Amino acid sequence: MRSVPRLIDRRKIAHFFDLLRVLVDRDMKLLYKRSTLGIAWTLINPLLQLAVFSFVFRSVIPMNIPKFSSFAFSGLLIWSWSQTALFQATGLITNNKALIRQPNFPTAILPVVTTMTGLIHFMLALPVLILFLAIDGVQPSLVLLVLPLLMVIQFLLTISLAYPLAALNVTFRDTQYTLGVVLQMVFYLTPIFYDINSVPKQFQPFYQLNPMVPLLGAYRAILLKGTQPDWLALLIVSLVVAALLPIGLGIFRRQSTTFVEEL
Amino acid sequence: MRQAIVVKGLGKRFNRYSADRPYTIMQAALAGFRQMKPQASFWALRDINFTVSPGEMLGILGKNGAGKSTLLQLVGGIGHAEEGTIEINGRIGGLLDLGAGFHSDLTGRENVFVGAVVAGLTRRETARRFDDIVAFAELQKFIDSPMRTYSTGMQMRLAFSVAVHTDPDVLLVDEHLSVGDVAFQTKCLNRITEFKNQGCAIVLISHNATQIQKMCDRALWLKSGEIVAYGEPEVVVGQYLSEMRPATEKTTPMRPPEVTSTGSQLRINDNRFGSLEVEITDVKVLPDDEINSGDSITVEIHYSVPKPISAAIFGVTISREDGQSCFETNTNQMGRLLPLVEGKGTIRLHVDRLDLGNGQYYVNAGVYEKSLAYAYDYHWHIYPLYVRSTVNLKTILCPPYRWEFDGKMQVADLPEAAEKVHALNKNNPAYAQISTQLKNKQEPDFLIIGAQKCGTEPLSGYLANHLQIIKDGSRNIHFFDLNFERGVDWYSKQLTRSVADEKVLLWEMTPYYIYHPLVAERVYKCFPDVKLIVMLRNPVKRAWLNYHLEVAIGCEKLDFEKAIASEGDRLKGEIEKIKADKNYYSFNHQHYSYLSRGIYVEQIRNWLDYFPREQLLILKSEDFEANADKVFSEVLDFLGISAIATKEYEMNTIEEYSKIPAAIEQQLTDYFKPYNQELSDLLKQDFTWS
Repeated sequence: MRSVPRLIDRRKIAHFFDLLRVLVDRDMKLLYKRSTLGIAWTLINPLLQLAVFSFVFRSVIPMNIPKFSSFAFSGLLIWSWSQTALFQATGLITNNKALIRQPNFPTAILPVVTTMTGLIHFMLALPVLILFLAIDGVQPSLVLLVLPLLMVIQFLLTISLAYPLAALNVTFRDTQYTLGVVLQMVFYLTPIFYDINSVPKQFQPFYQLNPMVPLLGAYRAILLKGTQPDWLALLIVSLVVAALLPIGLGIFRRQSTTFVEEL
Repeated sequence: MRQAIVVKGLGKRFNRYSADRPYTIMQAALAGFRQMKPQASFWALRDINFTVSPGEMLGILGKNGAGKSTLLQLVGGIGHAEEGTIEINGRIGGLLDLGAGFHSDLTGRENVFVGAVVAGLTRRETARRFDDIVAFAELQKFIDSPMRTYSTGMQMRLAFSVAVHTDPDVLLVDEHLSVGDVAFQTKCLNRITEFKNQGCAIVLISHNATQIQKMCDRALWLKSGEIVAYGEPEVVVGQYLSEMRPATEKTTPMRPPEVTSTGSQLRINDNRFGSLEVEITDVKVLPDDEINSGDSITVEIHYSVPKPISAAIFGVTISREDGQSCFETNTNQMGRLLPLVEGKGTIRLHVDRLDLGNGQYYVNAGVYEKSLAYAYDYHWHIYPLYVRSTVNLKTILCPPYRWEFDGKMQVADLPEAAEKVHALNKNNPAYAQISTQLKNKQEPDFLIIGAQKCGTEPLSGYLANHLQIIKDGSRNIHFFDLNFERGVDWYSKQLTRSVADEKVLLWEMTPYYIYHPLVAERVYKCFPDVKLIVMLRNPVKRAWLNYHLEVAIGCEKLDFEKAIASEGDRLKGEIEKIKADKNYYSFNHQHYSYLSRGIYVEQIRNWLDYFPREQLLILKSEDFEANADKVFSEVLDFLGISAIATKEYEMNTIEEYSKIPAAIEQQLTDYFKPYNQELSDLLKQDFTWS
């Protein structure tokens, strides 16, 4: 009799991954179908931003950051994954009423789907980043193997923030717009197109409160410098994520019981 | 058996917020999050209990906002219940929001995969069922086109098809069944029925009471989040519909069950409904709650009125166990409203005859508001009534009836001559001669031709006891009247073969012969030498006996006076038809000829047209009954034989029916008098019976 529940569990797990795959697949396909440029469209945004930044920070206000294209583009890619995922996750519950009302549908899968879609876009853009790195004369090194770990940490960080945001948007329908403004501010307060070292010393502690800062530093260390990341900082970020994820999921879970009545 | 769904004490509370509850973060920040707390809460569902076993279908009825959808969602695991438990055994499938996960920019194929996985299948399972899903939706040609090119109906078909191919153990159905064209709807309903038969537990919510009555095994009526009624669909739907009459917002007060005089429990909202402004205290079915079909009954309703009511209507229905109403009436139909004064009272309904079929019924009684808008009190399926009927068929109605056959008579499939052959005494010196005769003889020696109810039966019994019967013949062969086309060869085999002295005698008895207009001629043509025995009784008595015979065999439903009065109409033109068409069978002529058969003189005259007087032996039944041996010796003389009784014949006592009413007797005596006189003159013998 013991094997029966286990079998069901295995099927449940298989179903969960199938569901994730199907929903991510759906999002990707929709993106392809909606625009003729398809997946390229996701690249155009950071590339245009990069062009502007390159012009401004090279010609107008020179920043003297070596390998600026690689530096800024890596920052933009990393940031835009989380930004897009959070922005989309916020509207997830309100835009998927039919799915929420499906018996036994695991609503908690939706932010995962959005973040996963962002991750795929991120990976699809990686070759372009590698091209920039090559142009800037960066030699690939073994520390690149740490990259997946960084992506996992960022992934978990993103969904732990996505959960409470999605839940909040059910109660306050302007969450998504407010989030847009907030993210724009954080974008500038994150060393994406400038170096953290150029930030005055007295403001540095505030920067360390942003978990994206050590993550960016780690990404850049392995991508641009070919050096080991700051393991201590990463450990702290991981611990923060480990704390945030259950809290975020908890908020989402608690709120999700009222989703149906609030919609 | 393990239940598929067990819901216990379920309660769902919704919060009610102030109208100016902030909807944006900005407002909330400005208002200082003060108004975020709910102002009040209310129970959207409370104290819901039900179970659904595998293969059972539960229908949930209720108006908008009664909590149907909330209940269905909770059962589907959507949302959180504040109270109670829901236990589901097996996989849940839902037809709540059709097409969850579908997107119009994706192709049908892509949507099937999304929809099916969202509904709970794995991708591999979906792939396996893909062809079935598409075939069921009848969308093979369009499956690779984007969904936005589909009509709404096509989208719904695909969505439904996906939903029903998930093999759920528990299926939740919203009233989305009204999608698509009629043919597809039928297909969907069939599919749902199929699920049910395969042991799937189904919960259906609908406004459509008829649909629930038709499809479900149980019904549950929700009102303001509470169960009003739960049970047999017929009952619940009936209550629901009557409640839906607009003015019936009266609430039935709650009170503990009471017990009727018959010992049944009165349970509010189960078998008793109403506002109880007038109370039915008891209902009696008189004379008894077991009657014969066609009996009269009286329904006596005892009521009590706490406060005077200006006008009320009493109603009674008689319904079958399955709820089918067989009879319904109310006092409004006599065009009078009944004012009710304070105190107790009784009202009776007399039903002169209740022609219901065999079975168990219930007498339901109600007293209603003067426009029938709602019930003051209504007792349903409490007072049993059992109706016995000889007609043991599945029929609601069993009125007095009879069959009348006007077409040609099918040749009755008479039994071939009984195989009872008595051994002949071989010691008889004439053995050889007799056995030769027995083998070769085909013609009847004599016939007993009637009349009916005149003692022909005892006479043939006497004969059977005095002759040596070699082979019993068929009784009432009806050869010359009704079976003539069967031919004489067949006829010969039906005759009784007997031996007396050294003579072999073949004979039979059919009392209709004397009266049938064609028989004399036919007999003469076939067997001109045959001897004929006639017995005649006083035609008044004969008619009376004849009438009771027809009543006994179920052919006569009129009383005697009416029957003889309508004889003229019944027989009108029948004899002409019989004479015109050799194959014509007249039921009326055979069965409704009480007086006509008594006019012997016409019949005898007809026979004497063919046969000489000496060939007929005409006896009086009264003489035979008075002195059988003497009369019987006349018969033996007539037949030219001598015989000794082999055993005593036990004369059946003539059925003593109730005595004929004197007035009618006199009337009939007068009627027959001239005919009897004529007969006496014709035969030069006294047949006046005076």
